[in-house]
Amino acid sequence: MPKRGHAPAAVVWYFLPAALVSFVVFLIPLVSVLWTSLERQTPGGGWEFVGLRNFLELPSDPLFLKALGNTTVFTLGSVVLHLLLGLVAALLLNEQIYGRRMFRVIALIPWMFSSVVVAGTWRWLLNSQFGPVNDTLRRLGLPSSIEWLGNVSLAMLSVIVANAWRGFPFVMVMCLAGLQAIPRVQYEAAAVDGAGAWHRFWFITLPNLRFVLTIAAILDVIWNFKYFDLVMIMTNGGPASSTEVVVTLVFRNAFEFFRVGYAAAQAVIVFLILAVFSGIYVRLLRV
Amino acid sequence: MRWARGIAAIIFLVVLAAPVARAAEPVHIRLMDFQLTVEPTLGGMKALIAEFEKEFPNIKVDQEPTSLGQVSVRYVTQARAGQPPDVVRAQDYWVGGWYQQGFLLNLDKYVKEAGGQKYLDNFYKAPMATGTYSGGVYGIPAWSTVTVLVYNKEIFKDAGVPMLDPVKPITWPQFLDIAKKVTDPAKGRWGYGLTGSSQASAVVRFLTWLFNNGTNVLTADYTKSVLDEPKAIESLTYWSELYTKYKVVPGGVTEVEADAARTLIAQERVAMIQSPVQALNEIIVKNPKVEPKLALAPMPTQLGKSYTPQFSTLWTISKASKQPDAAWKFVEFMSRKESQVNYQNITRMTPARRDALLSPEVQADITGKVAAGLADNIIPFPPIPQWSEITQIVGEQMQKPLVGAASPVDSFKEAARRVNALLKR
Repeated sequence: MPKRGHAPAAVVWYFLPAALVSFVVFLIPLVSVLWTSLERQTPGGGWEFVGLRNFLELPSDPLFLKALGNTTVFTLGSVVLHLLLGLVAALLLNEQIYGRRMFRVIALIPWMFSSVVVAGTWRWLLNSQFGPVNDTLRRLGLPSSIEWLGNVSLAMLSVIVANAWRGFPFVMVMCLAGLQAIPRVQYEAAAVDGAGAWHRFWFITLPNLRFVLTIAAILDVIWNFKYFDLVMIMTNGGPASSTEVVVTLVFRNAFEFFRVGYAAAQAVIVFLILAVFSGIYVRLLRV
Repeated sequence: MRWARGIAAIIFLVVLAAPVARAAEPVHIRLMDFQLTVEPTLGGMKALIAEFEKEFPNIKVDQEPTSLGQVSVRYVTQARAGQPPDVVRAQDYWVGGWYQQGFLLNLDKYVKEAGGQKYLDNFYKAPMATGTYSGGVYGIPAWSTVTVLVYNKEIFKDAGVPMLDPVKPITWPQFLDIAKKVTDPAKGRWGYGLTGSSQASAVVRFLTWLFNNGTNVLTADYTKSVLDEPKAIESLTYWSELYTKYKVVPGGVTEVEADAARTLIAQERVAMIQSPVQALNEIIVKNPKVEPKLALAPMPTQLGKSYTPQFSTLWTISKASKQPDAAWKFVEFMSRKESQVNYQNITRMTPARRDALLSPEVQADITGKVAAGLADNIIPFPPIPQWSEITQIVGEQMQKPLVGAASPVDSFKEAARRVNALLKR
């Protein structure tokens, strides 16, 4: 019997491989990014320690502030649509309908594609000159010269819609699992009391799904805040930086402008924001 | 003991023979090149590499095809990890950043062996300038193209517009007049396929309009932006009004990058686009039927003489290369007159060497004459490390009048302020 508060030696060995992997793939890059954010490259490829100068530059960088605002809009828009679509799809697919299994598989399809394929497909669909969306509008006699990705007011909305399509199945799967865990007896009791469909949803389904939806929302925020591929491929941050998000800016600074230290500082800010949400997530799981 | 002596003798012979065997093994060099990804450049490169390996049988080229959009990211990542390819074909505007990062090998020693200044004088000045930093050579020009006006002769004929001269440029008012005449939205046809994307290739095309109005992005000493000066604002106004006021450009303009513009002219939805000469092939691939209808002319100008931005690639060797001598042999081979002529014959890539461009084989091609007429009018990129970031600013600000987010005046005043702040940083 091991002493209280001391793990047996075997347990330490069981954890060691995972600890080593975490150290190599997580801790080393993290420390490296943190250190790089305090440096600046000099001509010739050398490095100079600049302290917090990269961080101090961030509040006066209009492009960074704009990207931060765009990231917030993109994340909030995506998460709200994911939750709405995911919940509605889950409610529909939880009903005893003919071909339910087939529809569940179909609903998962968007999630199965890589984001690059999704981005490329939506970019083509929404192309104002050659895209099927405008072509369909034209055939229906509706206004068809809409610049979905070329208009500063529409571009972000278009990217969010594409992301909503790609990401809602995750919330749907979680909600479906949550719905199946709700005791039938609650619905039966409500039916006896004469509760209608809306009341059953509002007073039974939603309260029971609250935890699942909160977890899904937090995970979705974490994923979408650092989502790169869709924006990069669909709009490349344009037009006029209207869809530039922080991670695409980090990429540009590191690989196009060769401002690696500054890019690392921006990445650290993203890390800190996401650390808050990760903290909430971990805390919720402990409950 | 006899068997032991026998084994010792065999080991001795093997040890002695090992260096000989190693010497006979070919040296491998890694080549990263975006022109190994698609035809016709893939075929052109394969043919040249086969020729090279025939001439240098002890050197094998390990090809690493990498898409254009991925080369810089992949190369920078590998170079930072200390494992870069030996040779990379670099877009001209990458070289400055790579040099500044310390990734590139100084080629002065090899250039001296190849003939020094006499060897360098073979190349046109502009591409050579982007391979030269702090007086040292870091890149040898592979090809150096010019941007021209590609137009559809049949649409011109239908609209009663005379064909353009392949050497003498038209003026901006003449260009607008033609664009208006050939625009017919009822037929789904517009005058000009303006590239309004913020990508670097679209920004380079926009620079042509600045150059042909006698201005630029920066002053000659690269210390200050001139985008807020009247000539630059006039250029942006004219360029953006082609879309916003005169409606001679089809919708979705900010989505139109180089390839989308080529699609527009291939589908005969526009009568004219701006393009590097060799991209004629890419238009024809999209619609072979359009080939006999296409013709080339210099870009419109306000100066009587048409100027073109630099559009070139350079061969660079990594500082971390373990085979720099073999890598140089490859670069030297690819920069020879015969290699550049052969490559042009297959790909239409304009040679960066004067003797290759002026050779009868190249001049016989539709692209040869117009390219030769413009080759001395190339304005190089500023060889400063901030250029990529400046390109991003220009791309963002040139879009604003197109989408109604700012007037040309406000947009370029803002651009100048941002560029100046960047230069002071």
